[in-house]
Amino acid sequence: MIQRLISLGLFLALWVAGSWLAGNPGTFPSPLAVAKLIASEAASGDLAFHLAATLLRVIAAFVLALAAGMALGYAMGRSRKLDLWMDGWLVVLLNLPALVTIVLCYIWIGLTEVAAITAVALNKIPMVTVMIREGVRALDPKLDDMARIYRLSPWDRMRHVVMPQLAPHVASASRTGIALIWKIVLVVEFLGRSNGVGFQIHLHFQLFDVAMVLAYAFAFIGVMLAVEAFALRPLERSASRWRTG
Amino acid sequence: MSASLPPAGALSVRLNGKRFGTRHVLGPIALDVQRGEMLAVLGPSGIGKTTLLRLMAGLDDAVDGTIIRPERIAMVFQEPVLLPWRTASQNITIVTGASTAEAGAWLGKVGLSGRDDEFPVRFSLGQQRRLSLARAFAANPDLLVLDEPFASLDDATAEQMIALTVDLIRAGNVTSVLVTHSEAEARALSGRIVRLKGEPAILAE
Repeated sequence: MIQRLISLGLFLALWVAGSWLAGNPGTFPSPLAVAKLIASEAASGDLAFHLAATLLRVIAAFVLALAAGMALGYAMGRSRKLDLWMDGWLVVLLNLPALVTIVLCYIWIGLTEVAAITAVALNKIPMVTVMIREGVRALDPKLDDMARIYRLSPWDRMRHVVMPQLAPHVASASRTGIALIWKIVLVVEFLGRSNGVGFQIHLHFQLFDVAMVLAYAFAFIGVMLAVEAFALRPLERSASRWRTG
Repeated sequence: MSASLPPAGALSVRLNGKRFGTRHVLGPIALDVQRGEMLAVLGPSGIGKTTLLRLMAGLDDAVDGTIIRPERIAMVFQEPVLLPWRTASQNITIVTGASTAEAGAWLGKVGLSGRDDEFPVRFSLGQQRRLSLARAFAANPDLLVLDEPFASLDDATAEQMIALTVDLIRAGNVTSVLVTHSEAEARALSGRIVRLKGEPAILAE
């Protein structure tokens, strides 16, 4: 803990020194200036409005990507045939730059919310699929036998036999997913939305207002760290409670 | 037609053979187990005992021949094969549909009373196997299949487990098939012993 605090202090000190050396608060503002901006944006209500817009997009894209990726990854992990058919597409999609998906979605669907969320989800689905497929391949065949002998219903099999085994894979897909998704959401907003953190960064980029860019960036990093600490990690902990009995 | 069917609760195996690729594991096998009978299939490791057992239990569908088996089957595997993320009680209720009270009673019968809400990671191997045995009996099976259930247990624990299993099988009048490489286990647990011999393996009384 103490190391973390010192390291954070060191980061702030470097930032202060950098901005002092640069000598131009317009292009390299001090941490204090950024903090003041965050406070004033929060007071005006703008900060909450744009953070909420971005967070909603992150959640929508995350849920969509996780659901689709899990269904696809499960099917591909269970069926060799399907895996042979789809593996090539997956490799192409995994290597498709996020920017291309975003531009194509905006052109084909229009500059809408649906296009924005679809573009982000499409970027993440292949990675979730691959991670879940690995998990499905590692499922214990002995537990499958057991479920078969005792004739568990498909629902009970999913809930009590399969999902607990996939939980660690779902957790790591979620964690890497959310980290990637929020960065792509900013790009989507930058290119074609009229609210959200990405839009604010676009606006202040055009005005050359670095302090404002940093204010929104750091505020949203804070939000995402809170999501990680208060939503994802407790979920993971409760899912692995049985390991320690 | 019905005259040729065996009585309920019994198992009838008519197998022409079993191959895995080019490997010919089992030869022709004919085997009938009467209701309430305790049969042991004895043979050295690698002979094809588990292959035969998986065919009997319906875990392997690629049957060359006919196998008639009862509806409700329970199996005790070589390893406990529990759901480690569910409590001892849930391992019985979820899998067999027994009530929580019934699960508690079965846990009591195998010497795990009061440990209903503990996770299996807290149990020793012997205790996990007893939980797996309780689960099998809680399923109220017409046929109980045991695949080397006492392997890797120390002698005292194995002896205890065998006595417990015999008691439960007798009390429930359950048809059972045990597969093992241990002559002593087969004698302790079974009324009739058949041996798997040769390559491809066939049965000898």
